[in-house]
Amino acid sequence: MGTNIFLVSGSSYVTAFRWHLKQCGVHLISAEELMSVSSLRSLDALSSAVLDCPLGISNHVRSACEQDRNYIASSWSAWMQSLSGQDSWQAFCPWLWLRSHVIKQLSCPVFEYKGVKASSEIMPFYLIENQVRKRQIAVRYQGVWHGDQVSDRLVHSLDRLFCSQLLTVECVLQDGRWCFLQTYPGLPWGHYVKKEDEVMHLLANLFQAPKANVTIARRFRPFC
Amino acid sequence: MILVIASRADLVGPLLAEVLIKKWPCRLVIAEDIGHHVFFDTEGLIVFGDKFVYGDIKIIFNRILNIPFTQLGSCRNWQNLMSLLETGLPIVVNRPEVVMGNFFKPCQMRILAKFFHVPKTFLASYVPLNVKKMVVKSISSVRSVVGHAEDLGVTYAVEPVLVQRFYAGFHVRLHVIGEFYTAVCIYAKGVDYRYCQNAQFDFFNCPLAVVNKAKAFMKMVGAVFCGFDFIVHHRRWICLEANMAPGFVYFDQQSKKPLVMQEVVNWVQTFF
Repeated sequence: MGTNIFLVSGSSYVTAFRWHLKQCGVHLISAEELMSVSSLRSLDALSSAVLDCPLGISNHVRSACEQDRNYIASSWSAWMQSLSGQDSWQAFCPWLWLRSHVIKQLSCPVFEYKGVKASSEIMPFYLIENQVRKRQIAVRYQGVWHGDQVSDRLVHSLDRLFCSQLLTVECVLQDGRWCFLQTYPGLPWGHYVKKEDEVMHLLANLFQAPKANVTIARRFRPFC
Repeated sequence: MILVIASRADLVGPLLAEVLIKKWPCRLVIAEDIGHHVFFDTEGLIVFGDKFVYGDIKIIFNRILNIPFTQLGSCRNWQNLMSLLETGLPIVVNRPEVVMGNFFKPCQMRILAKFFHVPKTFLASYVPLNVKKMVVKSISSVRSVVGHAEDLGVTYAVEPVLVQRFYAGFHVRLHVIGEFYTAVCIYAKGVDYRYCQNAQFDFFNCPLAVVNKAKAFMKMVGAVFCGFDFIVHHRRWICLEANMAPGFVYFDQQSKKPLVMQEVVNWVQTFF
């Protein structure tokens, strides 16, 4: 409790979890609310802001601005990047999160589509039978992994590839082994829809852990 | 073989391909033809019926400035191309992730500040712009006229804009590609020399210390080719911006010497 984190989220599911976030001291700014924020300078003064599903924010801004769409959209996207305080803009490069692109760089078992279809190639996406398959979900926040225990090799590969502040990886049990499904720069809100009771445990771990004790300083994480 | 991939609106790609094709096997691909006349699969590409394997491509010049995000989700050719550019080939000038730096100027300024003096900068939105000795510019890659707010007639910013301290002095544009570099100095009466009719462009012998810092910046962000904008203010070098997809042809045309193109050719020569 007592944290002062602003979560700027582009997820279409996140508003269902506003109360849960508030319980953890996290203030939510959804994509719909972003354009009505009255002063950027006041936001600059925030202790910290975390980007969640930034591609969703970009899409929302792009579709919301009728006039001079590209300029307005790119201005707000660029501002969001500056807000996050990260030294990388990869969270805004959708092609980096393509499943086909990520798989080429991973050396681990990969989930194969057999009679199921993904909703999109760009993350995040959810399988139609999302609710019935056994699934592992791990979330990295500020360099520390929480949630299910996914394979070390997968974790190391993702640490090498992506430096987003928030990162989720999902694995699915297929033919008796855990297989990589997808990764994206944000939290797995879609997975917890209709399972709101389960999300508190994850959020409490993410946002209330004493970060000074568990966070690995950036200078010790040259590839992360 | 060299591949130059450019958006249809890009002026640099066709001119670059025209020069390179005189010396080496080179092919120009227009991004808008992808999925229609140009196809990228996992092994190679087909350009208007001609097949090429990726193993034969030594260098790709990437001049795609607008990536069609909607097509990226469904078009396998675009997906294969972006993967190829990011990780599939060793030499890409520059990789798409690097070019994205143009889109996020505040973030880029933070990195530049590790190597150069940068102007005091703040972001503004929903605020009146009545500060003097400041210049206003776009926060993203979208081209905007840079100038004093009062000269531009901008009194109020709704969308996020960059507001920077104004420095008087002469401009220097430095282009670095690999180990090769060249620079021009620009004398202009207005703040934005691109819109000054009498701006003068001349070759400039850039100090090695500045070049080395530029190379260090490029190494940090993974850029192969970069155009740096400086203002020299009382012998102090102020870095305004780094362009990861530099429109270098403009500077060659203005200085009436193919200075940058020659350095690009010199750099390419090292691979053949």
